[in-house]
Amino acid sequence: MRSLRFLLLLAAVLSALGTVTARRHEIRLLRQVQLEDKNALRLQQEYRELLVERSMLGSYARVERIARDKLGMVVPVINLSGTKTAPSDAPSPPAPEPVRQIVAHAGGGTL
Amino acid sequence: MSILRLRGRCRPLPIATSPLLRNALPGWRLRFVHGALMLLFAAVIAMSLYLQIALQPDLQANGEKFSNHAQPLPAFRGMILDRHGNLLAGSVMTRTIVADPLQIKHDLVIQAVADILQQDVKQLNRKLAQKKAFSLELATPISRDARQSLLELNIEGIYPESDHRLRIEPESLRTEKATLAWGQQSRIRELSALLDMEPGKLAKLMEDGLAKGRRYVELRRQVRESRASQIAELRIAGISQSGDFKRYYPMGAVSTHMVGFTGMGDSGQEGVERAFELELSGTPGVWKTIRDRKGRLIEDRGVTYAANGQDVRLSLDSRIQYLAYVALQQAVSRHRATAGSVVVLDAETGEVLALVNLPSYDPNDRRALFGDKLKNRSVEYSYELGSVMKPFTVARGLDKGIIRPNTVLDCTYGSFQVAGETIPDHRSFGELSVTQILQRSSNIGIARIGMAMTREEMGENLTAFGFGQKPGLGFPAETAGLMRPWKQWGPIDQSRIAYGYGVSASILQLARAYLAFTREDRSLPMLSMQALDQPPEGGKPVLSARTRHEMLDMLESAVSAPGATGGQARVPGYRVGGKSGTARKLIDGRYESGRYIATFVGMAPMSAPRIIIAISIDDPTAGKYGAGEVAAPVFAEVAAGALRSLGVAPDMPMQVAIETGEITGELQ
Repeated sequence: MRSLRFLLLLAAVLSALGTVTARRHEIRLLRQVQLEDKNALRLQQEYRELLVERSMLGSYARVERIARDKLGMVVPVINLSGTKTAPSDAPSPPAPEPVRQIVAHAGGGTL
Repeated sequence: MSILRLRGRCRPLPIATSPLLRNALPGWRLRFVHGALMLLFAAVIAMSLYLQIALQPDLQANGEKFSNHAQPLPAFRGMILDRHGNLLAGSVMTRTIVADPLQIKHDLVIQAVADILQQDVKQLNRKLAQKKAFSLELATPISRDARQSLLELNIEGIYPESDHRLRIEPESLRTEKATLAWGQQSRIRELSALLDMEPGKLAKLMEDGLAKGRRYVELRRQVRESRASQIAELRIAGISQSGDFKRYYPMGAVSTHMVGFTGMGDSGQEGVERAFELELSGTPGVWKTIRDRKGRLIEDRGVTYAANGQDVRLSLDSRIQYLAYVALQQAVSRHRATAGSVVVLDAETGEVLALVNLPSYDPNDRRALFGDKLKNRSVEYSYELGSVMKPFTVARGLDKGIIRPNTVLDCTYGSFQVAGETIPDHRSFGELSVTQILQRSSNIGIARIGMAMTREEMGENLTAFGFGQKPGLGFPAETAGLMRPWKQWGPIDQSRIAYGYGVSASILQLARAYLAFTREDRSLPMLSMQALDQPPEGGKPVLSARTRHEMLDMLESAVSAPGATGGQARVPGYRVGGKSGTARKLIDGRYESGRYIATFVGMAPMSAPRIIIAISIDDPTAGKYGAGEVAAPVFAEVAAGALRSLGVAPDMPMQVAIETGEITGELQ
């Protein structure tokens, strides 16, 4: 009778300790989950930022502007008659205006 | 154990066994104490009942407020991509940095005072917080410099009592009026560096805010997360942050009429953003937790994960889109037109490869989002298209066997009257074959073909080519054009409809109608702005295979034949076909003289059409107004670029002469 009571008491104490440990473990895991969650969100955010940045840097308007202004490239003129044309004196058409705004926006550094 | 055993032996203790107490304790005292104790018990029970029952909801709510936390899990709005996966619209989380100038300045001034007096800031602040005037005992006598610095701060409420003592009155200490050298504060300098802002500008923002009594001054919007957390690490009281999503449109004005933009609350306002609102919008999640006093997580109470919006992949090809935009912009400015549109369709699937309208706007600039330029003209605006409608009349005539491509008709001016009215033409052509009628765009010739059919046949023909119906992109404001039922047509109406007046349509509808010529099965599917995996079903053929071939040949000759109206649409290396149309502009129900809309619709390459391009230039005022001179060159430019970008092999021998003179050769 006595030893049974003692055993039960011991079991109760052990189980209580076990519960506490399990809770502590759970809380630790929870905090880890929270941390990883935050990390995932941060990475997702970074991925999207990089995507936007890449497409802004690679926008056709910007590429065309750099090709024309910086590298001095021109579109070859192909004519149908087969005769060579003298290089035209007309200046190359400027890059369209609204597009320039976006490029300025992309380089603005506040993204 | 012993306690348990003791209980068994327990007997009631005799209360007053002491001889001292036996007589000296009157019965009322016992009863009084007993009663008082009982009353107290009753009070405790009553209070606990009151707390447990009457106040329970409030208390519980209060308790939960402290321990329960709901951590929002943000959801990203879906991205909009072009057919190759290039980004057209994407959301990024950004932060807005907000300052409370009053708090910031107060802290800085107190810090400055503490530095001058060589005192501990925390202690000083604690004393100030009591709001009672107090004397400050200094360890060393106040120096002349310190006195001067205090004077320069220009604050009331600090008075020297002696060399060692200062009297400080917190109530009259108006820190916001102090003269503070913002730029010399190290944390302000750090903050301004992180904000990409001159310290002087930051100081001005703060002082302006103070002067206006503002406690919420936005320092910078759309700050990146990484930068924002650096700012948070400065731990300046009075600097707070709020987060939101910012949507970026990398192609800006180029694709905006297609993509649209979002408005308040990140919901779609225009274009695809609006048409695909359901797919694009995400559902934010929430994580419910219980936390301790210090805000540490203790228990999980369930989580609903955020569902990001779905990405939408459009059929748009951003390269062709850009080409079309640039070509159209040059044409519109060269011809001083008020507006213009270009639509490029895949000639087999009916996918929209490009859709451009001018005037356009940059959706990244929120201030630009108003007015007429928001209108998606190629989808929402219908007008009488003019001669570009002529091929439909010819196609039905061929299909019915009324004419053959080489049938000769008299197109002499004045030779044809309908209901007493002479059919107008821009010149007297004499005798022309049907092919030549299309090449020269003779109204008389077409009217003769149209009048050889019944009203019903013509009405059903236009319906078969999709007029009077929405082309199926799915934009809310898509127009179906205007087409009166054929039963209401008079003879003069019928003749006018044959050459393109009296029926209005958008150029999107026009481009779709030409699908019947380019598609192998001659049927007319609904258009799609999403990338398709397989060609769509189009229903029954609009015309016979033989008619289709004859039409393609005639449309090609309308560009390639000498003197054809579409001559300027020619593309080096490719066989192209198309039809121009210069329609008079209807303003307030009347045809205004000298006002035109130039339209061109064509396809390429003719050996196996890949693209259909429709162009409309509204009200060109720089002298030229004919579609062949205004719209056809845009076709040539867009088609050349688009075919090259799609990797379509040239189907015509060409001689190239390249401007630089270095590369000259023949391509076969």
